[in-house]
Amino acid sequence: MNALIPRPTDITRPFWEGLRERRIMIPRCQACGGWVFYPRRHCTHCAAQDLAWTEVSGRATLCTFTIARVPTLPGFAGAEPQNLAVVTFNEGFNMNTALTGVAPDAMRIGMSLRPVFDVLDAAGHTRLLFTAD
Amino acid sequence: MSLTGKAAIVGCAQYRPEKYATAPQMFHLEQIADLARLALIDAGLTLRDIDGLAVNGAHFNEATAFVPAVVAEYLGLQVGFAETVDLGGTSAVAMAWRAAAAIQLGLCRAVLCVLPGRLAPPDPDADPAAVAAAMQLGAHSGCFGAPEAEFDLPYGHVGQNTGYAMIAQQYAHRYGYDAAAMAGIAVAQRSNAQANPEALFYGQPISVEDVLNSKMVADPLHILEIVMPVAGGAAFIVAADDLARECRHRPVLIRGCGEQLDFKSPSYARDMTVTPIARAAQRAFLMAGMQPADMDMAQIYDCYTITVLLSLEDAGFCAKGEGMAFVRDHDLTWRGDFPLNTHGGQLSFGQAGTAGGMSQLIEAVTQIRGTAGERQLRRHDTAFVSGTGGVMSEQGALILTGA
Repeated sequence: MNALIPRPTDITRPFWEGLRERRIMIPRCQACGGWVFYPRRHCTHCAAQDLAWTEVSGRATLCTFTIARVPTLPGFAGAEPQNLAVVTFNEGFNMNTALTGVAPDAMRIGMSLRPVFDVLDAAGHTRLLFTAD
Repeated sequence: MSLTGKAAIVGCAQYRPEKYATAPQMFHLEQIADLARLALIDAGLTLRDIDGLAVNGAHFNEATAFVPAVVAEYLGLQVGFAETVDLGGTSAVAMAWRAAAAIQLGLCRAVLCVLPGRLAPPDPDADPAAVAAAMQLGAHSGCFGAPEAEFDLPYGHVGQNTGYAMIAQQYAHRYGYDAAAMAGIAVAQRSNAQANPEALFYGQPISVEDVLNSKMVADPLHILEIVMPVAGGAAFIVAADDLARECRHRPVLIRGCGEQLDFKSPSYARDMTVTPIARAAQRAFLMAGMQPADMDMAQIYDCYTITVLLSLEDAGFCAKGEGMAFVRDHDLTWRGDFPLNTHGGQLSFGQAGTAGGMSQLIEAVTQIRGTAGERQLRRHDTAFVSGTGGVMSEQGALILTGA
């Protein structure tokens, strides 16, 4: 399996650098307290440009999922089925991800999840997967 | 302000859907010229009558900017209204109301709306690997800085299948799921296609068992619940009502419209089981002064069976959570009590890119005119037409009535 390596920008780099250190850093609005994911420079709740990178635990629940039985991209050939998931962090925001270490027939909407730091290559690029808690 | 029936759809043209491998390859400009000619013949108008233009903005083959000017010049047109529409599968619906609004404002009197859907001849100097890679991403952006490139692709979230599947799973969790009822949507539409010789799957009826036994692509969606991409293309002409009365066919008045965009990825929706068509359809019915029960037919965008189910609920044809019972309790074929996608829908007619969404509009026009042949509805004065782009990202609604 050869997942696409994420290409951080000046805006998103702290998120990806955090994952390398096994920390989950998410922008939080200092004006209204809202969480902003994916990372941006403005708050999507109140438009303030006053966000601070804030660490979260990664505890989440499964919002929805599908079992992709046909590879969604050539890089995922041989890794089917893919347990594609949307997770809802305890803080309330959603993230697209995949589940690991969970059998396809064991996935249940609402199940408790914990983060898995998945190192993609020798350079240490890391993505955030989830597994059953 | 409302659309007050001052504009009507007066001409249509549509290529028969074909597999890409055997379809003619034509430049987009040439497809547009050809489809325009056919739509003008259908309307009984001439090129000189056209003074407005709406074309696709995204993926235009021969231009990345100034698309309307390039198209107008190629056709030999001078226009008082020029528009590109980049709303995926709801582009046709969006073009119709934009054209009607421009006509009502007095900017123009006859608007050509066109979406090419055949492949263009390949660029002899293009890198085939780069072309193939771009095709893989489909409606996703792989551009540096694109949120979906950075936060979707590394996990394998790409394309429409898995997005719609995840909406269906969330719906099943909330309201329950009847796989046979969902399959029944595809079966009814395939039945309709048996009365449409233009449909890709004409001559190939299917059963509920065929759908349920077909390959599972992304749970709970089977391959027979997923639209097949084909080569095609379509055009229609919207004209002012006085001009419309001089045309060859019964004018089809645009009486109500609505449009709603809520997100690109449904993962970020407040509630992914409540789709944008809810607001779009509500506005359209309000504008027309009509109700869902007043519709003689529903031509509902159907990239997947789940798209149809959610659209039926959210457009108000049945209550939220009762879609499964609704499709079980009604005959959705052209013979039935709730005629739905009477041309076969895109599931059985074929989906020619964004022109696929124009097939629903053209079927409504064909039925309202009374020229639908074997599948002609007995009552055919009013139609609900919807469009859907992205992954339930953007939806549009039209209320059409015969003059």
